[in-house]
Amino acid sequence: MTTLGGAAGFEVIVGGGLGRTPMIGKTLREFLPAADLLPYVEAIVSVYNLLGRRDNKYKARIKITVHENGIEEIRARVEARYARLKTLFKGADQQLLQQIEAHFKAPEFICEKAPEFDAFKEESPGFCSWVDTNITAHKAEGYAIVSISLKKHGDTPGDATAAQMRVMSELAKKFSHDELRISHEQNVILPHVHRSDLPTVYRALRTANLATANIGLISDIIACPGMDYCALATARSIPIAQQIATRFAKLELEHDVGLLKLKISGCINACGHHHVGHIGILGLERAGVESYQITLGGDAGAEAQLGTRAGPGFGAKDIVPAIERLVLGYIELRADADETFLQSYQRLGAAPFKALLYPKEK
Amino acid sequence: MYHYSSFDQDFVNTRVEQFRAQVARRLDGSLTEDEFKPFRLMNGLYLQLHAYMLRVAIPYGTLNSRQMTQLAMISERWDKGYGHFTTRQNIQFNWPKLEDVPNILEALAEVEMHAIQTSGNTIRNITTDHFSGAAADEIADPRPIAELLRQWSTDHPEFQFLPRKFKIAVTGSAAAAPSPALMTLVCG
Ligand code: SF4
Repeated sequence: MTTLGGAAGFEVIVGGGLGRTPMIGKTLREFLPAADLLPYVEAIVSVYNLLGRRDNKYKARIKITVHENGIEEIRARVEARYARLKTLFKGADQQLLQQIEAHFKAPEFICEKAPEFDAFKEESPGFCSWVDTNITAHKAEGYAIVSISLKKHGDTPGDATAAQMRVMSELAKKFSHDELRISHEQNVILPHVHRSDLPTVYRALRTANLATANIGLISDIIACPGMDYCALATARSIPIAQQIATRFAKLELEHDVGLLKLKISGCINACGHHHVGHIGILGLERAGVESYQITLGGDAGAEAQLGTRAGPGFGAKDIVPAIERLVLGYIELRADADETFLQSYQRLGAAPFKALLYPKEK
Repeated sequence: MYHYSSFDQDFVNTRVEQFRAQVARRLDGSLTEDEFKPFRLMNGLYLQLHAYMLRVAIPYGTLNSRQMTQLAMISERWDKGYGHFTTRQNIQFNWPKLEDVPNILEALAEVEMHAIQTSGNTIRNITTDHFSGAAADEIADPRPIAELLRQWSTDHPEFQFLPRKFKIAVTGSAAAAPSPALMTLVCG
């Protein structure tokens, strides 16, 4: 039996998803032994294949299948199918998994102190601020995980030029055991960087316009392609993201505002995950003009939560000032500088935030 | 990091050649756009507002330096010099010309990448935590499981025409875990 590097198995969740009918997933099985993964997943997909609706493409995703049939019915069918499939898997998958695991052996980490890092931290405030926002703790002592922001204020979220891709590739080769990751937040990760190399990495990134210190801040916006590219879009999302980022860069407030996930979609398909943004923006079309609807209180974290609509939409010209009122108002409302936007919202409820968005006419 | 077996490589190379022939038939007019559509969707090629868009899978968001350099080359040679990284850990090229797409796919195959099952009603690219294998608070590295699922789902004969697209994510992050001994598998 495989141990998956320490994990005994899985909790299996099914039927979550965003899009036009956002739903939080439900637990299908609290414990699935690691070795039974493939027969069980195959059972899920084959039950869905037969039971999922083919008469209406908007009701065809598995979240609707689960919703319409109920999780118990799905569980009963999956378990029945799984019981049959399990006997057909005779261990080839586990052998394959062992071969695959050998490919993913951790690199050899050299655990030592990093004097260069501390020295450079003293002399460069820009580096300090970048370390504060863009570095995450690594499991090996002396190492760090670097998040490279593809959200320079005013640029298109998630875009990288060929020259930037080459710089990131070169840095991965020299300083990150030849590895890069792409995050769902549309940034690039150097997963294994020794802390003593961080100053060099930072300088190289800065030269390539890749050292924006904003991971997790309001300008680290997720935005779908929207009307600039997408055939399904009802509104633009990239320009809105660019305007918000530029505005907050100018206000020089985003580090003070702290953790805030802002997510923008250009239509109800929700590729920009606006339902789970602390602040979500959904671009719609009303009688030929763009209208941006704000949702508040969404969360993609462990306690997944869908945001609630704040009220009527804003026009393209009014959406950025509305977000500004909201965020500046939050600074006044928060209990202290450590209380994030989401925490304030959860503590105070929607009313004071709605009042910021829709001030009464004097 | 995973490297293709000869089975993986042959499969990807064969698909490139198949698609090259399909594109040739579209270009000489023997296939209409409607007839061509299912073929291009099997290879991640969408028709967007202004142009075709090619969505390339980055399995569980992991790349090596050679692959990243190749993406740079592709964006310069056959697109407008940039690429767009998406919320599903993929990269999209927004301006490829149809006649160039087979060459792009060939260039991807050279570095063990493809655009298969990045569209259509199939099991899409498996996603994981982007800090997997590095995070201090990780239960286990989910990437071997994600790779196993990639191999199992790629060209799975029963699951090429599902009612709708199907997405799987595996996470080994302690922050998301129900118990400190369990990873989470999410199907949606
Ligand atoms: S959410 Fe954005 S990318 Fe997704 S379909 Fe709508 S406009 Fe297109």
